[in-house]
Amino acid sequence: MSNVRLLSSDNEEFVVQKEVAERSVLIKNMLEDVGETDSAIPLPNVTAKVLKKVIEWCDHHSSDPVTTDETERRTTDIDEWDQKFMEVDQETLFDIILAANYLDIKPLLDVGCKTVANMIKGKTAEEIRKIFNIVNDFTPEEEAQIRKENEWAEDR
Amino acid sequence: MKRYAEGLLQHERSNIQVKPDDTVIITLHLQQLPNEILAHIIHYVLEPEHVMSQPDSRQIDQQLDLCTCILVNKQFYAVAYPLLWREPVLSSDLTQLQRMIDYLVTKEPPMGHYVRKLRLDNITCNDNELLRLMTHIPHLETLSIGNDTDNYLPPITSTSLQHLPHHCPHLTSLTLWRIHLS
Repeated sequence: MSNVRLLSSDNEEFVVQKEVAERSVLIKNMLEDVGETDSAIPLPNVTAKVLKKVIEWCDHHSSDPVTTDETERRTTDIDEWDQKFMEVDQETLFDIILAANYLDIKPLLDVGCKTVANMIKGKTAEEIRKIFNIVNDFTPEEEAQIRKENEWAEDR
Repeated sequence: MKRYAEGLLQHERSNIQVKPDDTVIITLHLQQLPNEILAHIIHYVLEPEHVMSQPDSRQIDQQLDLCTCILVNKQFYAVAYPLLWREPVLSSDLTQLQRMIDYLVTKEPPMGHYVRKLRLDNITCNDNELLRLMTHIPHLETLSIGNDTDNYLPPITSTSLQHLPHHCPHLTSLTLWRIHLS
């Protein structure tokens, strides 16, 4: 089995099996375009810390069948291993999501987004702001206006 | 450097921390994710937890989730607002529909342009209201009016329905229950 060398934005090199690296559609396409190569593939948007996590995920899922069915991918629950994998601080979680998006690893992007979605579900706006340390950038007038505009949707 | 970073902190209550040894840590926050990814996340917020739940109550839950999301901040608003208007679910209370119409008339930019699917199943909406409504939802694709219970006759006639093709040219599905067309 051939190996591929990946270079993080902070110049750390990782050697991974080709089939692991090819969980990333971006890398897969690159390898198809350039063919056999000895030089490392530079990933200027991913730090070593995040790349290490991403490789760990790709390695665990290297033999998963590729699901192209949108609805199946969307409705599948997060499995136990992935849940554990996603037990990281928020910054790392968002880093993983951004890296999965850039590297085009859709199942990892899904797991990341589902994890964040589960943190949002059932919460009030104020609770969501608190969890993610989001600044409320509406003026009180704007907020009152939005609440008024939504009356049709909220009255039950 | 420390003072500079603290200044930033005061301005933005932001993601910049200064450690006692003067190292500056910049943390990535949800706010820094691009809208496209936030849309993906909100999409999953709307996924039902129980596949077996009733479609009607599921839609209402989704709508309430969206109402919450748009209040978080401007970025959430920008992403969730079009979704809220895509398939509005109205209760049987007629004042809700009137509120929505009043709102559509005054709002700029016209949010009615996001509406794709509308069900007026339990609402005693009349010709006048339907006429007012249809002029503001030009991209409507699916419309259903009335339901199949015996005691419900929607007060809708061809007076308003004849104008539908003109105002809603993208309409591909129209369901009418117990409506007498002249």
